[in-house]
Amino acid sequence: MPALLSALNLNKTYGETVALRDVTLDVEEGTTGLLGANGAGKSTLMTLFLGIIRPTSGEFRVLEEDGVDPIHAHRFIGYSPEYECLPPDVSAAEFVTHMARASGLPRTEARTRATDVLRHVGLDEERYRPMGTYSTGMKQRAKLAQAIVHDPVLVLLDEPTAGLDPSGRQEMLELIARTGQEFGISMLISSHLMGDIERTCNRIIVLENGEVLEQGEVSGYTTETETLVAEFDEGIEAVVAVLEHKGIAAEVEGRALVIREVSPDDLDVIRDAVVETGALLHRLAPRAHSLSDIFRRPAS
Amino acid sequence: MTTQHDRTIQPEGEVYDLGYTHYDGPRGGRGTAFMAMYAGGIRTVVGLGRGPGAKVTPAVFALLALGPALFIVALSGVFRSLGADPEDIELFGLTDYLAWTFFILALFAAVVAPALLSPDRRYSVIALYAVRPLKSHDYLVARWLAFFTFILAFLLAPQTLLYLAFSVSASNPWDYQQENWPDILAILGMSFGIAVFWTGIAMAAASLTTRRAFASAGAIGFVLLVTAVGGFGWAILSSGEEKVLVDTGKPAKLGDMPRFDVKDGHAAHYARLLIIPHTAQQLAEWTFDERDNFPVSPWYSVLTAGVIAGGAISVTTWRYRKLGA
Repeated sequence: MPALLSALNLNKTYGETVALRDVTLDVEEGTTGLLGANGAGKSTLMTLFLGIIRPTSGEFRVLEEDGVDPIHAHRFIGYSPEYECLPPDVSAAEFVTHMARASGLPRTEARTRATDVLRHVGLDEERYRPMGTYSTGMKQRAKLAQAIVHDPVLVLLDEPTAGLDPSGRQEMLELIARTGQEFGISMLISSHLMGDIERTCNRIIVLENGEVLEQGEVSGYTTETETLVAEFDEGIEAVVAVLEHKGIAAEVEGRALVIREVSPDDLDVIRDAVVETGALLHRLAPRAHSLSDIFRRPAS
Repeated sequence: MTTQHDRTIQPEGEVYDLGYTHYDGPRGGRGTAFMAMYAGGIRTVVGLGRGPGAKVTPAVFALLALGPALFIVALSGVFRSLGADPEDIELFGLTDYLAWTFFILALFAAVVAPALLSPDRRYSVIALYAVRPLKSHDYLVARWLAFFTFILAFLLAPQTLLYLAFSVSASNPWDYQQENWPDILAILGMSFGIAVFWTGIAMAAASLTTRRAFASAGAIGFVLLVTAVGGFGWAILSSGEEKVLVDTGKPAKLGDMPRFDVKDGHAAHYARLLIIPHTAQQLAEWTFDERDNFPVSPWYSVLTAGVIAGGAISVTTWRYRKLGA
């Protein structure tokens, strides 16, 4: 399966400032997260793939088309920028229909799809209201609607949860996950929030100072380790004492007990310790790596 | 009485949510996207898909442009029913009407044209157009043509109405046609020129700012400034010069006042070309063949208007040399 987006030795500079340095990557089908701190080059890379800006050097392809002027590929691409991009005096129904038409859909189909997509993103009731009256969450939904109204193969979402409160962020992440899984639309999502990427993406590209730091499957970064975490509601101290007595080192982190390099025999000892002390065990699970570990690694 | 509880009619169907459906219909390319941008521009000008306020402005201007024509048509009908020939009364000719709509359109262009460009930049909508199947200049051309179309329609509708009314109400419509058919070409030519002129200036002003109000003020301010420079130049260059009686080549009418002016070909006349209403009036008189004696060749008026419009279009193109700029 050819990559949806690919870059080879891509560089972008603004005068003395290097925005992207020797970026080589592939974005394949599925949901890919573009993770990096502010200023890492995420938005530059996205706008470059969209043909809004041009690279200083290097090659890139968009849906197998040369990336410099991908006019045909644009029929199958959607984009939702980080910043606000909605005219406040226009209704969502009017705007999304117009965007469908501008993506090449016939008039009737554009109108029908706009109605459907606005319903899918939860703006069914409010679609005739001017978008200037929308909340931040509704605006993010309208932005997503215009990005997927023409049923694209690939959607680029730049910081889709920016400015949202925790519940709005939760709803938006659920909607993005649905767009990827239920709607079957591949996505490239940029974010500086690891939680967003962990929850919605199956692949990840990490950018730092304009360079690709890591890329691969999210599961590869969040695999289970040999560290066991046991959370207790009560009796954690007694369990620690028993384990120490039996030669198993355990660290207490709040209500959790962290036991490193656990062997299968150790598991039996831990179980017996819990039974023996009568401690109230809340959860027992192997610890998974977090994406944040990527940034904690020492520089190579 | 039937209540919800004792309803006996069984449903014959059920509603299912089919969920998200993929689109496998036709997808147009650049042409379809361009037409969408053009149609979107027209809808913006008319205020469709927007609040009532956006519809009021074009409606008021349409009324101002068409209203007098409708009034004249009605009046011509009254004169004819009274046995008078409307042609003899010369209420309001095509040239006069053009002068009237020229200023209405100046205001209309300044007020409405910025809506086509400024908000797209202000609210960054332009970035979304950059990822549609469009070439970089398609956006600007489509928006420009949308406004041009509207202005042209504004100009042509009342003049066509007047021409038809004059034809029908003439004592001999066939003779009227034989005598006045060049007016059709003049209407088309002048309307096209005025539409290019005002669209060019208004869109240039809109391309320079993201604020509609600033763009409107800029367009009107530019015209006033150019006119003021022309007036100042005219006043300086013509002061102290000998004035001669002007022979316009027009048949004299009752109420016409004798006009004195500096002699033909004087440098002051070239400065006066920058007085935009004056130049527009001269062009209208020349195009409608109402006058054949001008102080400087009417082609200089064409050149002046062309340079201003061309400059404005160049500014707009420069501002949008790259979509998303």
